[in-house]
Amino acid sequence: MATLLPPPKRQKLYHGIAAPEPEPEKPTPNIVVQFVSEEDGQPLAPAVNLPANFSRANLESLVNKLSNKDDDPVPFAFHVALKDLADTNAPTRLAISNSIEQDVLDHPSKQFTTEDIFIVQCAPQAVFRVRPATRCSSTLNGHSAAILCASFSPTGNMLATGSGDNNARLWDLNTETPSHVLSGHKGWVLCVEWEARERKLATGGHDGHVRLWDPKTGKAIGDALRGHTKWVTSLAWEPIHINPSAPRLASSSKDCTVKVWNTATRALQYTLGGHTVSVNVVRWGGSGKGVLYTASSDRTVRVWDAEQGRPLYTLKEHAHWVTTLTLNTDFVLRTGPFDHKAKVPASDEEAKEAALARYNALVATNGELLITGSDDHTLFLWDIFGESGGTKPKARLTGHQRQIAHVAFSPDGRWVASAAFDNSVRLWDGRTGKFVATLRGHVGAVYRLAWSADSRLLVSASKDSTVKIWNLKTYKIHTDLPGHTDEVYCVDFVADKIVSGGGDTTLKIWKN
Amino acid sequence: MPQNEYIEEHIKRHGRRLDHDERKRKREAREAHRASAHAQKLFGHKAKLLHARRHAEKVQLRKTLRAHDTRNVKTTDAASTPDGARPAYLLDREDQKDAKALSTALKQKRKDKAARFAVPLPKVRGIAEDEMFKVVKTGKSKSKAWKRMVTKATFVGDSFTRKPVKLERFIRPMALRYKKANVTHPELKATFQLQIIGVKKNPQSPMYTQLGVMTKGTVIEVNVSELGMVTAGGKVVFGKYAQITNNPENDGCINAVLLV
Repeated sequence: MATLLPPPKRQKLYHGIAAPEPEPEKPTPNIVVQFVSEEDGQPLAPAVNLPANFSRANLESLVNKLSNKDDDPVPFAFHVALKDLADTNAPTRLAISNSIEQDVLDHPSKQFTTEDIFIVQCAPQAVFRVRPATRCSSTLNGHSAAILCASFSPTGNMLATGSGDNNARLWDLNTETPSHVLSGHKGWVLCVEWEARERKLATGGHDGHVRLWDPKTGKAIGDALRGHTKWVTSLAWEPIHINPSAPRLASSSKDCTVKVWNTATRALQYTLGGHTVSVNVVRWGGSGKGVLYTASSDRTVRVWDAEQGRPLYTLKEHAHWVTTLTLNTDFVLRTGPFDHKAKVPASDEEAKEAALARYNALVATNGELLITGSDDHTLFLWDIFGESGGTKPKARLTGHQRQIAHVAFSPDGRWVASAAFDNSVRLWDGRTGKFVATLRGHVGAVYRLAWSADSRLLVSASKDSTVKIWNLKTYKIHTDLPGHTDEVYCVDFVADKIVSGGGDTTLKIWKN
Repeated sequence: MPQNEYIEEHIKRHGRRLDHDERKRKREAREAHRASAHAQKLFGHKAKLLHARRHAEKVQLRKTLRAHDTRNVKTTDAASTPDGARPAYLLDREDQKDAKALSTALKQKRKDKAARFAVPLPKVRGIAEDEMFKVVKTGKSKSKAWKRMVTKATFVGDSFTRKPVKLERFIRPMALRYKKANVTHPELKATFQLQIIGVKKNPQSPMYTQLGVMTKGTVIEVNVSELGMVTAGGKVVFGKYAQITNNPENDGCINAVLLV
């Protein structure tokens, strides 16, 4: 009796159809890849021969292996620079999100062949990752007029908003409920700013008053700081690494002055005159003993020594109102000693050390850079205290077709995003000011931008009543967040929460 | 009965007596005493009436005083926060307001379009045919009566040639033909003599429009190229409508208001 062969293996059926034959792996060319650090252009490792379909994750572990540092593995972002194209609106670099074969060799521009040596720029990324928001987790009512400004506290536990109903409000972000109403202003609350150790909150109003609040109790700290004769346009706190105990507060106003207040004695320390028209923005930089940067509608940007209030430089390149100004250290100065590990410093010294360490880590590569945006449709990048510094701009960033509304540095200083009234957001290299890409999708003027803490996500708020999250690998919309019924005036991003408020008087919190 | 304002006339001519002001002051000072004496003397119904009147006067006085007091006190206008809050970065950009302003502009534009049909003289007097036309009798024995003569002012184009007598039903007399009109620009408040281009509409009847009859209320087209008017798009406006405001057949001229 012959042995019976077992029946052939039954084919697996999916909805009655046999599974397709697995496709034979396509032969993939081998390519030569040179990994280069994005910061200084130095090679990280000798050139290696790789199959072109080597995945991104594998590339990452390879670079970590080859660069022979015995640290924890660092996530990297890879990109290949494109040659200059005639179309100035085309992206200038190709991000590698899957593999070199898919993203670079198969790119429609066909600039690369397998014969080339691929110079892959490696940029280290934050070790944590922010999840992009996808839904509206709560809609908070409370304000009875448009919400004009919103700002997360440095730790991200609280949120402060200012509104046209003359009140500022504090919101608890863990429970997403209102916590305190800060009433006292006699005009719209135009700006709110947190002290970087979350001990005080400052608000500036259309009535020209600056008020200080205790965010824990929701009580005012004394009466208003009076002095400005017109409305307050922006506020800035002294960095923690310069003055950890009682940071001073600078307020700029429509009345052409900037006033610096001692918040401990509640006295006016000095007034910076010099601008001849409204001062639109004031920023307190952290280099040396502190530097004040002011941008004004008289077309100048002025730099002041914050200790005495002496003028240092006047930057006169812009041809129209300078409306927005940002430092690459903004995020670090704003969050002071708090990083993603949520450790609360116990003393002033500890806070100072932590803040200084964070500040130094950021300025180690490039120093403190300044970018200014103007109604002349251009931006200027300045490196005032660098070796080529002074009043000569480092780069002029052209391309926008309408006035610039806002400009924002990413927290790691690698990117600059600028929003304009021409409905577009433009992305620039934060170190050189080179154009990277245009982000199109809004159908109204883009008012505000915010970066996630890991610099991987960008959020924009627009007049078209939407908030959009942008994908920085494809330069397209990642998520559209519709829901507001009127213009969105402010947006802020902390941890994985986005908050936005606008003309419809409601505050929306978006999260994953 | 006094004749004319003789007292005022006398004061004007000769002035007042020298102690006029002092006498006046004294009389006024005594007034309170007199009123008091009067009030004390009165009784009964007359007293009631007087006191009611005095009471009303005093209430009025107090009200006036209070009104004056509140006028002089400086108050902080706490409740005067304007509506339409805008963030600081948009405060200086009122001119570029936004969709709302745009929609109001749109509404205004639509209104303007409707205004084209709203004319300064909305109603006109009806004119019967026998007033408009005079019957012209023809034929050897003047027995035929098919010919008409227009008795109102008319506009006749440059290229017009009269038909043969046998076929000409309507005669537009040369004496009542006009080529120019005195057109007033309602906003500039200036009048210009402008050439007539055509009769747009005679509200009496479409036939009169066809004939070019100009009566009060008729809309005519005039040549405004001299005024240098420009459309929203930047083009020079050539013709514009105007409405006749007088009775040309009576006045011997045509006055009109430009419809802007």
